[in-house]
Amino acid sequence: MVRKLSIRLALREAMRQEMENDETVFIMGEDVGVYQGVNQVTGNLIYEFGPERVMDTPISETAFLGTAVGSAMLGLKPVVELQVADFISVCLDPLLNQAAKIRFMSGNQINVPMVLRAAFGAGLGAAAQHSQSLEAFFCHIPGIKVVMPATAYDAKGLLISAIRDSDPIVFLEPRALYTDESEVPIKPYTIPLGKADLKREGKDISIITYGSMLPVCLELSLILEKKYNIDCEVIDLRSLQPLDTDTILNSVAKTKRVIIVHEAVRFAGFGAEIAAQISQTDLIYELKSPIRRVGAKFTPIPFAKHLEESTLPQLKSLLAEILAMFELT
Amino acid sequence: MSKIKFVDANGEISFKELDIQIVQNFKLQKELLYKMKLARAFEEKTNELYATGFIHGTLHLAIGQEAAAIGSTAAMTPEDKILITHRGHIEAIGKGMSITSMFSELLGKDSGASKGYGGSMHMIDPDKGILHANGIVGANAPLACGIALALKKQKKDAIATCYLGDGAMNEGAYSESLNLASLWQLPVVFATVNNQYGMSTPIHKSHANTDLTQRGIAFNLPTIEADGNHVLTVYCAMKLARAFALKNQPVILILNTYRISGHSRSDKNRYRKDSEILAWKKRCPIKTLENSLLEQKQINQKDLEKTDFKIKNKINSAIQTAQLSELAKEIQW
Repeated sequence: MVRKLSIRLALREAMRQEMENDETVFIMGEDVGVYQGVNQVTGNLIYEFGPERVMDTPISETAFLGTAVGSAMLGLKPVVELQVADFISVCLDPLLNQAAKIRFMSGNQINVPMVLRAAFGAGLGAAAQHSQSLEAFFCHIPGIKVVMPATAYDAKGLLISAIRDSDPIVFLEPRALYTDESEVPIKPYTIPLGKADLKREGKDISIITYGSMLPVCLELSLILEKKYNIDCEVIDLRSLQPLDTDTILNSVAKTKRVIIVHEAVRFAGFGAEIAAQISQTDLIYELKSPIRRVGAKFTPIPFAKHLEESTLPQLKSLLAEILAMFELT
Repeated sequence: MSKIKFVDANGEISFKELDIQIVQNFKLQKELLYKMKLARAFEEKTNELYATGFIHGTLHLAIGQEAAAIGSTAAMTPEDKILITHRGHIEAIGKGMSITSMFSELLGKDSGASKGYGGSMHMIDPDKGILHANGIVGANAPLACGIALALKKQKKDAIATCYLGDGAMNEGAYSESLNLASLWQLPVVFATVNNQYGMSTPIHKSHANTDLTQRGIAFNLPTIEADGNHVLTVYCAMKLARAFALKNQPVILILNTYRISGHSRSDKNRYRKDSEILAWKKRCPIKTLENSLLEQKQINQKDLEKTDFKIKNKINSAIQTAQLSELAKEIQW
């Protein structure tokens, strides 16, 4: 029987199953208990596991993220919720200088098996301080892994893998997609971190994306196929660190055209890293069109709906970019 | 010998005498003297190795602070966990870390405590309960809450002690952590080694309220304040603090001492007077205990010479072992 779940419920199921499976796993964060989480991801877990394992915290991000790191140093497995990734500004030290460095600085003696879950992204009218896509920033910190699911199936499998991993993980959840549904097996399963997924196979162009732009890219590939007979390959990176460079290069070797699409601002975005990785191989001589990158305008996210929309990459502009690569405009 | 000041969560002040059994425990006192001397010798030798170019990087010495470090760590059990600071060599020694692995670390050797990846500021040894040595001021406080939370969840008969300096008290992480520790009743001691200065800035230029025992009141936390240059007082104060923490009552411990050495290699001593340093030198924690034991005829000059000789040999042999070991390797992380 096919069972569909939303990303939100898939994440909750992953946490529930890991908490049942391993008593060292616990949740902490602001309003994750009876409020059921600002993004309703933790939901009713408080009633299943009690306040000892679903811990509401004061609004003290440095204290509770640091507490999570400390508890992980003694073998607990905290899953910390940051309501939106933007709040990392007030608790960066426990992540940047502590979690990311402890295994290294201790000469591999102490691990930090912690997951920091955070919603990210715009499109909900949350304005400049609750809408950012900061993944490139996290990827610039050696010592942490950065995971970004875009479907419910991936969300569950990746979160289980993240909880079982022995290193600190930043797990970024596309806020605009929490209600998106896909088929999700009931039993626990894992998806290896650092393995991209071909969400659609094609031969004419590689669209490399992740997170909130995946549904847009898939919709776009349907239009391109129907109207323009362009066969797109859509790669969902799923985790940015570690990065599945092999899948990217194999795809580009096949299609000879590549466009990288993310919601984050294009300037110094993660797309630049992917473009650079491709450029450093001989594939660069075989490309039929220069590598393109699509991302948000280099500006904080505005509030007004029409302004927010025009700041973010849109299907229309993406279509134009790709058509230009085929000299169809 | 001074009394221990106790300020309860309501701000009520009382004073406690030192435990008479401790005062009369000369075996313990001789051990404390030995450890303080070892700590001092380690710091002096490290400084020498640095000056002669054997150690690269930076160095934060804690000469003068031996009583605070050795007295407090001696009052713990091996199961107790500590988080130390960038100026943490001597607490590490107090908690039992091998000076050979410490010298090896300083020399960038594979046999170093952190295989050459940590250095002076990061002397970490989980087997001895030294879980972190932090180069970020104040950052130990939230981590200590987490260590304490884990100890509590795992029902361990042990506590976490967060070492920090007076300077760290003005970090946001410190205040957030006091609140969280108090709210969640965590088995943690916030051991504040008050050496009077945050780098060059004295307390009266950095703390709006210079009475450090008042900070806890806002967070419903008791505070214990002790003469940090008197090792027995420190020992008794830490025992008291530990007893609170074991009952899941977090507590602030203030140990008033003085850093005779400069902040780091960059220190040109432009911010304090020689007379001030001299006055504190006269209150040297090692001399204080030494004189007390001599007066009470528990040791004699010959014993002291023997101890110094033993320490010198121990240090030299540790350095020799460190120098002979292999350089740190590149590890595939």
